[in-house]
Amino acid sequence: MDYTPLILSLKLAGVVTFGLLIIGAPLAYLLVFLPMRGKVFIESLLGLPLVLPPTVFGFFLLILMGPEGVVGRLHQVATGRPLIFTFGSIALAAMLHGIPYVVQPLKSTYAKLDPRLLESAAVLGCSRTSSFFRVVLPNSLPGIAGAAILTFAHTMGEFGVILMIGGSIPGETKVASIAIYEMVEGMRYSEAWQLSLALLVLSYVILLGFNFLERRQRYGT
Amino acid sequence: MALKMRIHKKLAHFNLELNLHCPAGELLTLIGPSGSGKTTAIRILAGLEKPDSGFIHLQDQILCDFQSPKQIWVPTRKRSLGYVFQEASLFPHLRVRDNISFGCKDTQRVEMLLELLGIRHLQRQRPHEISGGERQRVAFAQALAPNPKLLLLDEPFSALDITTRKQLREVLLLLKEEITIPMVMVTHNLEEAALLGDQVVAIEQGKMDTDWLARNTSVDFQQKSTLCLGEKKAA
Repeated sequence: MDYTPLILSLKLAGVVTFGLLIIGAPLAYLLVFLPMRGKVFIESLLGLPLVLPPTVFGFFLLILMGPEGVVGRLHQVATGRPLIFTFGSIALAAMLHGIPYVVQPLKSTYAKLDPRLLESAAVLGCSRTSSFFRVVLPNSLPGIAGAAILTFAHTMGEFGVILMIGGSIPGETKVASIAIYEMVEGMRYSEAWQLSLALLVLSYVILLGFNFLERRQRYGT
Repeated sequence: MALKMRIHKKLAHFNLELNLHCPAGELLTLIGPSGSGKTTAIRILAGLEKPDSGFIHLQDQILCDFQSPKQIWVPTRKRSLGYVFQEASLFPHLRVRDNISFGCKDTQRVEMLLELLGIRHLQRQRPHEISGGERQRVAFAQALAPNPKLLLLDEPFSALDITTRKQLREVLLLLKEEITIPMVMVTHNLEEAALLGDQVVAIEQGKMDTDWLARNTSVDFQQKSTLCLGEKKAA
């Protein structure tokens, strides 16, 4: 049994979760605390991956990241190589597709913070950036961990977007979900069983961790 | 270092119009019923809310001036304030000592405040591990640590039981001896205003009301204030 696809899925989920936390934590902070016009348009845009079929989302990304797309051409000029059908392309696509899975829970976490903490920080001389690092992040750790677990689990099961952008290149873009699809297509049910079972157990453990964290956050136990 | 403030702000049910002057080292108490605009006034002083017009001067520094064409507005973080909230808003992830030094790098000053407020033994505790009265003492230390130019107190004793409230009043009276900056305190407690305030300003429906005190106390308020302070000093 070849577990390379599973290892690739874990690697992808790790990279995407890390990247999305770096982007999503300040983005959610800006959306919750920064008074700005047109916020609702940005929030709706960021929520699109939740409602669009992954194949449609993947299609748009393929246009954007393909050899004729803006991002694809920029990448080609910068590195001399095409962007699609690489691990980088599926990581980027999974990150874009996973944005709401990190931003939504973080927004909820930040919104629950006592606003006086931020006012207190401002009175004590903190800028918005400083407040984010010194007050918001340390008081949102369970929420951040929850968002990380949710994003990790979602990326482990990512299929449509990855298929559109990365195809199925062994060791590069052939993640567990795509490998299982191919195994079933090729009627290799025994292998499909093993990999599916491994993915099932892993996903269950991840969700179990998420639920424990959520309970801890809700009940403080 | 005196505080001068003349502001106007349209609120939901009335207009807030205030004209205050508080010399350095004095405590001005703003008293009035709930919803009279007291907290909005102190939040405007802190820069947490904007007035529609008017100015706030702190000695030579202009904190806000909406009368000038430049429309000056100094953000909260640059006002050099101490602010004690109604319920101590300490940072839950930090120990008491780190809460106090949050806005102050001067360790000697932190040491002095730990001593002055009698909270040295709490310095390694987290806010949820100490009592409400202790938290409010820490909040005073946190507010005073950065050596502010103006101290604002928003009903700092209202969430406390009677015994703790009395203890903290003593603490504030003690602090007043040491503090040489203007202080503004919001309260709806007549006794507290009388005991602690050098100047008492009543607000009702957003306006300064000279008759409010007379209508709400059987004793002449200024006499009561003098009496209470006299008793305190004698004690």
